[in-house]
Amino acid sequence: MTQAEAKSTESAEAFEPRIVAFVCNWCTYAGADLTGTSRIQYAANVRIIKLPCTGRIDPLFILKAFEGGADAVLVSGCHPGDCHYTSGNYHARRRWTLLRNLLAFTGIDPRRLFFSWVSAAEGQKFADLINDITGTVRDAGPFDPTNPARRQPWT
Amino acid sequence: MARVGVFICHCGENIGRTVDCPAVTEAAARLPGVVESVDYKYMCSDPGQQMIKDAIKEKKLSGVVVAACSPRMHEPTFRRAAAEAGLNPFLLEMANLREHCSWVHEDRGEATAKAIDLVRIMVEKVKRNAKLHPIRVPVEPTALVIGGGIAGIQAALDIADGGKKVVLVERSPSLGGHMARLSETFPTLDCSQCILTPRMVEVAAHPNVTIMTYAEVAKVDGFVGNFEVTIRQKARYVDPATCTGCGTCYQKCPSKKIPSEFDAGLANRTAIYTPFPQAVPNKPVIDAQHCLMLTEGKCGVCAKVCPTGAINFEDTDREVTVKVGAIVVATGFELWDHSAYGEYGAGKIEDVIDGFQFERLASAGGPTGGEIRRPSDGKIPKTVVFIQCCGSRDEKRGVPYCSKICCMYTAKHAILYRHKVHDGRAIVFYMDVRAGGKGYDEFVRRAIEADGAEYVRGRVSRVYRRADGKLIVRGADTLAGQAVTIEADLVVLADAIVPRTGGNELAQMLGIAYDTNGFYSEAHPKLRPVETATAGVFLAGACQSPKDIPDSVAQASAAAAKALGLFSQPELEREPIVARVNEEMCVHCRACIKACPYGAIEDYDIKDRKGNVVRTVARVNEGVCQGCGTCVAVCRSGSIDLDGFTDEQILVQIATLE
Amino acid sequence: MDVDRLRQDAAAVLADGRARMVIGFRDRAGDRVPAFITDAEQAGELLYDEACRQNLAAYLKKAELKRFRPVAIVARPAVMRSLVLLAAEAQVADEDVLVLGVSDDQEYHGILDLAATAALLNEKYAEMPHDPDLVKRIEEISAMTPEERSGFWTEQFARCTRCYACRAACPMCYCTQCIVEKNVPQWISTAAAGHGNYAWNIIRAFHLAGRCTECGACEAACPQGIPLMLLNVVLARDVEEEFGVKVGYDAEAEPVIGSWREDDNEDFIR
Repeated sequence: MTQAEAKSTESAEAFEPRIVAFVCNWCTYAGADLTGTSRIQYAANVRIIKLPCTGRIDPLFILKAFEGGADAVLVSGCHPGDCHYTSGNYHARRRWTLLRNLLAFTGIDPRRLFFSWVSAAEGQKFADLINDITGTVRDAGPFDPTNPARRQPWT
Repeated sequence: MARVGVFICHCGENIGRTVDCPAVTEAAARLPGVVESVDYKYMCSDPGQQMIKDAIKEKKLSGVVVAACSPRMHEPTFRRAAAEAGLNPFLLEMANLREHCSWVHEDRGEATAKAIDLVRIMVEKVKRNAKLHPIRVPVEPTALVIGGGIAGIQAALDIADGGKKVVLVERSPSLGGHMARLSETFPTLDCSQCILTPRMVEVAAHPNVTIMTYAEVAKVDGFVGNFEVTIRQKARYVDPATCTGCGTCYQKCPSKKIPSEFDAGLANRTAIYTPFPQAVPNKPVIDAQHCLMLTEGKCGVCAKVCPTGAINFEDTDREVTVKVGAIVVATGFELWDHSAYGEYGAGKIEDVIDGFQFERLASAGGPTGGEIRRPSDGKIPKTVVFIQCCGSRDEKRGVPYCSKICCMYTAKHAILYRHKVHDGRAIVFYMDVRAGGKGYDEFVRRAIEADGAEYVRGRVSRVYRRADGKLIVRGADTLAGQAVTIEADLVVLADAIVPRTGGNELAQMLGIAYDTNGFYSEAHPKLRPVETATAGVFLAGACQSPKDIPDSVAQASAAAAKALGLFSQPELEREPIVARVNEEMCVHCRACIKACPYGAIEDYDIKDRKGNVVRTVARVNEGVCQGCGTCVAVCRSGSIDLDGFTDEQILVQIATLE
Repeated sequence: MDVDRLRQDAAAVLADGRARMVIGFRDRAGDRVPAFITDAEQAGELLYDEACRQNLAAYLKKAELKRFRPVAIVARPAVMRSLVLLAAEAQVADEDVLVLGVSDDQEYHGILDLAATAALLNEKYAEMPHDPDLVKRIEEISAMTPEERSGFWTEQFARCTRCYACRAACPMCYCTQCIVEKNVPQWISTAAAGHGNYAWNIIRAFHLAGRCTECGACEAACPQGIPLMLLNVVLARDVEEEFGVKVGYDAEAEPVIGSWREDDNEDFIR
């Protein structure tokens, strides 16, 4: 995307949020597959990055996504008790609790950072979630280009 | 320099209808490092796969992206094709254009733009993929079977018949488990011992089976194919090699008043004993708690009368370590303790007995020689009330689940009783009759119709003993809508089936999960019913959920098949998605060691040439690591990475989406 | 503060070999600077007063000082907690460290080994409140709009010159290679501006989540006056409120990040 294009997509009338989703392979990725096999439609604003487990998600991944200008980040994995690796999601949950508050405190609006449990059976939930996030972020507008977390053109 | 090939699948119309595949192909062709970009109707078809194989060879591809359906669908297909063309299969990635794009978006422009993004991130990822090689771990072709009941015996026999070695550990002095205590079995009324004891003898005599009775698992180390198990052999005080099983010792033993576990307390045994005459091995042990010699230092009669000098009062517990490749857990069940039910006498009324006690009364080898005589006065009861669901399906005071086998054994008890006491009444209180199983419903019908058992639908609210000795059973007949009072001589409670005590400790040793009721959890309730979450540990019998004999035997054979499957290869091949520690950078804060759900990370001492420890670091045991990456995210210095999902591979995907 | 007793104890542990070095404070032209004493006769140089704010446990990570172990360290409660945590993280062994304990109100606690240090902390310092000024400031910032907050932190982080004095001052920043120096792949931009500064300061704070004992050494060391303790205390408060953990009291404790409880809060997860 050229800068001119970026500018136009970020103008208020044509704003389409860019959402980066970090999902685990066993539940949410499979849940999103089910959304597909069920032909449930949802907003095309999300890009999924697959990981084996939410336990693998380093807080820096989330920072990096915001740094690159994502308007929102979603992190999603197996429900408690269902982790393919027994407890990766419990480890992740702790990190998210702390990270979410720290980011909110330093100026990343918590309305841009979403966490969910979506199982392999929750195709509808995945679609609803993406539509909801897209709507919320569309209302919130683009991620402020002057936010300290964002890469500036001169750096 | 990367040479990536991108293969875009139309999936018939499935992708092509919404995604402009030629446009994606063109966009992919312009990406740096992409030397081949083609689209095709069905990439998974033979000609589609051939295109990929040809391109790998002709264009000397260093990486492949197949943009098609979900990798959960066809990743194995395409990775196999890549391997056949000589490309390491882990240098192939899939972009999910179908489930994650064409099927969920209608707008062709949006879907195409997203498809291009999905291809871009995978192209960038695959450029950073490394060749990975399946991890091979040797397999010790010996199985440990924990539990010597029918499930354990069956699993051991099947594995041994398959030509592999088995160590069978049983914590009581004899094989046989609960099945040895039963009189007859439903729904055929086969004599339980008649069908079981030949199996016991067979397994004990099998050249591939080592039996360790009066022994318990103390420690489990290692991982699939390579477990190291420490077994504690409790002191028997009788040398099994010298003992001939003549029985002189227990005939002469003066401590004769110990309630027999085997006979559910309805008869007594001696301090030196075999639990029952058909015990395997038929060699006595000394119960140290009750032996006069071992407690008070006087007696020693058994040693004096033993013709072979097999008694050894100096015997101690010993620990034995075995190396095994697979473990079958068959620890079985026990009965729920009905003393929680004060209204049924809280376990204090002698003639209110449990199912096992009734089995022993009905058994020809039991304390009454098979005559139904009640414990208090030895009289033959003329009215017997059977109460089902005692503890089962009672979330508040008992267990929330159905114990599954009680409907059937209660019907059996009623039939056996009516066969033995022709003028007696058998009255069964039930909530529902659950008789799903081959010949099961017919069996219950037979109890009612041919053998005259009286079934009353309703709960018993109270059982108490009247001054004249009669047991008064008050309950409700919910079909007739009236209260009922029965004067009974004997009450039999169908106590809930619960897991063996000590099961949780064993689970922790084995690293397997258990549910809220304490039953061991299978890896998947439908598709992996005998595996556990720990590779190489399998379940058989009632330790996983309440089961009858046929189900236990079937699961035991399934577990044996799993173990034999594991043993059919000299080495195990595992997906090489494992974590790796950069030992140069590791500062040994031990966060990863503590976070790993599998205990796969251990301290490792780096030594100098003289053998002095220079530094200690974390090291991943790749045989145990399952590849979740939890350790990677807790490592602050970035000293661990996960093959297949490296930091570099993930960061480049994030960067590509900017 | 009974400095004489401190000096006597320092001399004693050096003389009888219980320690090969005492790390404490001395005066240098009116400043309080660390003193590294290996000779009992120099113990008279030691000083202690309110101005001694540096966390001397940070010297334990210095490779060149390892050969002086066992080391006796002059430590106030927050520093004692750092030492207990370092033991929990396998960075020091019981036999490596002695504590010459001083309270925040200048009471001298004598010579303590790590077990005695943990016992003292649990007995006398179980309730160490967060700095009330910081808590007040946190409340003020939390009450801002997200835009105001991001504006505030943009200003703060813009001053960061990436000198890493905060890292050097912290006993818990003991990685031999810090994540910020990792370049294949590069996680955090090293340019002293913009997003790199944000990422560095956030990750520095996050890597101390569940490990910071609020000694204040990082902020005191920052030549640019960036209010780092605001970030540390936000996290420390969460660790306490969400997970019920106050760190640095138990050398056997599980790491906060790296352990979990089934009933950890998940209100924010959909």
